[in-house]
Amino acid sequence: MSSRITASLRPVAALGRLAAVISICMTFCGCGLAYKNSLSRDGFIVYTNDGPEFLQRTCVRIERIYTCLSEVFEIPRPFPWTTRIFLDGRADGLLDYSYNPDLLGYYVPFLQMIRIDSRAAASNLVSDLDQVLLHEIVHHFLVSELPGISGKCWLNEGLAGNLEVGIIDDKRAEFPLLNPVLLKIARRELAGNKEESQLRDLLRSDWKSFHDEKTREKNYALSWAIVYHLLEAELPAELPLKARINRIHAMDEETITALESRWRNNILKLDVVEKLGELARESAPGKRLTALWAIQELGRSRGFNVRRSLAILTKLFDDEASELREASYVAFLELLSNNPQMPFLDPEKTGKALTRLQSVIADREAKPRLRALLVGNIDHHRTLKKDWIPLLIETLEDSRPMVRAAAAGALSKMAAKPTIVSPLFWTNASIEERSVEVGEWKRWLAARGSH
Amino acid sequence: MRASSPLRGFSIPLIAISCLAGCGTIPSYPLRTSWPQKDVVVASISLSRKLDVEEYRRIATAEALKFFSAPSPSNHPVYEVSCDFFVKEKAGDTPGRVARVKVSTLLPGCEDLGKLKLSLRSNTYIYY
Repeated sequence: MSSRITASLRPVAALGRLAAVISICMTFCGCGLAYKNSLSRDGFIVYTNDGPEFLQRTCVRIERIYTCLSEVFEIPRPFPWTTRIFLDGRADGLLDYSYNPDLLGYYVPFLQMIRIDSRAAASNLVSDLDQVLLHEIVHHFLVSELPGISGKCWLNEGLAGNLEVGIIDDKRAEFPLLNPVLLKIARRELAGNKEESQLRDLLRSDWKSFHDEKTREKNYALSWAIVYHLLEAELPAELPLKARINRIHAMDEETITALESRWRNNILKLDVVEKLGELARESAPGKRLTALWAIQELGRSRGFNVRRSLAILTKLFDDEASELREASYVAFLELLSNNPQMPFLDPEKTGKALTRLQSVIADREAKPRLRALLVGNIDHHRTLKKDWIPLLIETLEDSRPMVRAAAAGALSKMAAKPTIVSPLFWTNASIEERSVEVGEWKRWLAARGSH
Repeated sequence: MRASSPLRGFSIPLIAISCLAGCGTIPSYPLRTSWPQKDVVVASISLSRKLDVEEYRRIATAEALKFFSAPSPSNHPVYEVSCDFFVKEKAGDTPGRVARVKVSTLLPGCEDLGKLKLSLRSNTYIYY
């Protein structure tokens, strides 16, 4: 009897075992089977449906993030854990203006799993894939290194908001901590609620109330703001970042709440352009990446900040460090592109700065990469009275191939005459072939002048 | 790097069923061309409905390969093909641009189709 029952139940039991094996696989592989490509490195595995080139590129970026965070948190290699990172959404070469979901990424501590909506991150206007990756990976390091931080949403999100603006190059990383987007939101919240105490509720909020759809944005911004205040204004700057983070983690609620008025004053008087200007002028070797980042951020200024950013950037044109000077040229051009009204706000300064840039482009001794970069960035400036076309036509005969190719690209966007755009033509074609095209441009320019 | 996932096999019957049912197929579309540069063409494609990203890319790549395989009207090897997709939301409306796929080649004028395909670079923009 019993053997018959066992026999009849055998297929059911086998199916059950199969289901159990599949669910275990799905849980521990994090549904990795559903992805086309994966790549494994020390500390993480990345899964994506994008192509191998995108995967390789992103893996290099993630590896740099892991390396610099291991230095901040002083974790020896090889890492004692492996995070699974899922990049959803086919982001390579895609900018989708119609796609704007609320969630760019999340980290699940229990499964050591990060999921990034790479399509949303790539299409988001205020952050990019690197920033979202850094934010989520910081969560992983925080949860691994600071026991109990998952229960302190303000600290977990506040630290991720501070560290997500990390600037990482091939060799090292710097964390300016300043987050211009979150600062703007935090200042708006604090200025709008001058009497109301904000800190106590923030510090006590659990996961559900912190991530409530209506207040989530405010909570993220205020959490960044309080952590920024503690790291920058309350704790000694000479302490390493990890030590400061540990001290904040050890602080009790009462101590932090007592700092409410100092925190408010500090954040409300924190002027983003002034602070970026201060960071942009940093000359210490350990702050070079921060200075370059600050210059880039000044180039992205909008609204009331544009005129002051212009003044800071044009001052940096005379900086001793060539790297900062060159970054300020490019940021200045970006500022012009994004703010067509700017030349009329300060015509004298703008005019002088443009003359300076024209002289750099025309200077055959200047770095070819810089000249090509400047030429490539002037193509949007249709609102300016400066006539760039004669200079660009002259540049088509430059001895440096990349500068010629950039000039052809700029002319294709600025002048009414069709041209050959292909960089291969401007870098590899014979001088005779190029002369035909340049001759056509010169005749066109002469005819334009005579009209 | 891991090869294709075993689960990808499931998509083949799904595609076959979709094709048999007539969904997911793109009917032939009107295409207009203009040559803003000697080696750059803009192909405007009118569609009856919005498609997904992969379909825009597939159409643009197929169209681009046709242009890359022949010289431009001014007899220059084609460097870039920009496919603009337009959809008319309602009858009587002006068609609106819903997507743009820019496909360029690192080897303009290359006659080897295999090498040409490998040299393609594309950027896709989806608009509201």
